[in-house]
Amino acid sequence: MKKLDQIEKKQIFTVPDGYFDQLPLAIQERVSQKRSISWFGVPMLRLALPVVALLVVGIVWFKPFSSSLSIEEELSMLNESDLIAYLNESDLTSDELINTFNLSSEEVNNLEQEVFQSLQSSEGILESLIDEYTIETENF
Amino acid sequence: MADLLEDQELLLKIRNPETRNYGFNMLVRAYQQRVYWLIRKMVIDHDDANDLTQEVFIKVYKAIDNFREDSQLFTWIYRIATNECLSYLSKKRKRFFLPLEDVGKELAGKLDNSSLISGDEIQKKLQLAILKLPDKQRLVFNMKYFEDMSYEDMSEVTNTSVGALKASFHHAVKKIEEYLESN
Repeated sequence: MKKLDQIEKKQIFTVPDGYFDQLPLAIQERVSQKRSISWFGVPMLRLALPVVALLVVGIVWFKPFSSSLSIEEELSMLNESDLIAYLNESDLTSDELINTFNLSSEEVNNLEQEVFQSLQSSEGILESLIDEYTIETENF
Repeated sequence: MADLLEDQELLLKIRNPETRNYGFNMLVRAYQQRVYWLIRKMVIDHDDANDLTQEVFIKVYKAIDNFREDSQLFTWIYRIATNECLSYLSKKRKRFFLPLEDVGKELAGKLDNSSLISGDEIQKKLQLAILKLPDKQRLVFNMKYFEDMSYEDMSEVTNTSVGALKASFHHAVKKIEEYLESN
């Protein structure tokens, strides 16, 4: 039987030339990109409000059958990860959304409250957003 | 001792906001090769290893402030690397729905087709034998055989007892030798 210790230990894998010289730079660049989480200079929390407004209005307008659920109940059924994914993909500005749907200041305040409550109910998401917001405002 | 002092210096620099980037850069340079080669031996393909290595160091960057120094810095980083590796391979296995295909065959295929793999027949055969092992056992084998890590360090990395690691390694050696004999 061929014994393992009879086989010479060799490194058969290779890397492209200069790979380990450029790897730290590539990593540093990715770390810097991840720190920059606000988009068009608008902090994420401020974007959450109008996006939630859009989604709520969309649910009310486009729902095919009348629902016995209140807006608050509808909102509480929204998935936070879907909201966050929508934030990352949407290119609407907060002003455009607020102006389009003519929300009163009371409606804005109520929606803002709903957003914070729904975020707080999800473990770690609010803290994570706050951490990212804090990081974004630091100078590097 | 020298490593410990260097690690303490690195951590001091990273925890100082003014030198954080510099310190982290030094940490990457200190550990990049060990992390990369650990991963590369598991995933075979350079591009996959490159992606995973970068992910590991991004996770290190995010978590370094929570590093409690109750283990060595290198075993902490290695733990992140091994978890990333095993998680990647596990997800890959779940994606293979066809019974005839498996991750082992795909990895074995990369041994033959990559320009970034050299080595004679016996070396490639050894790699094929290693690929037959379950992922965790393969990891243990690689750490012991290629890096000559102590069982105590491996125990910290894998959160597995020294006895279990010794048994796993010796069983892996037996399986590899049987494969080499029959192929």
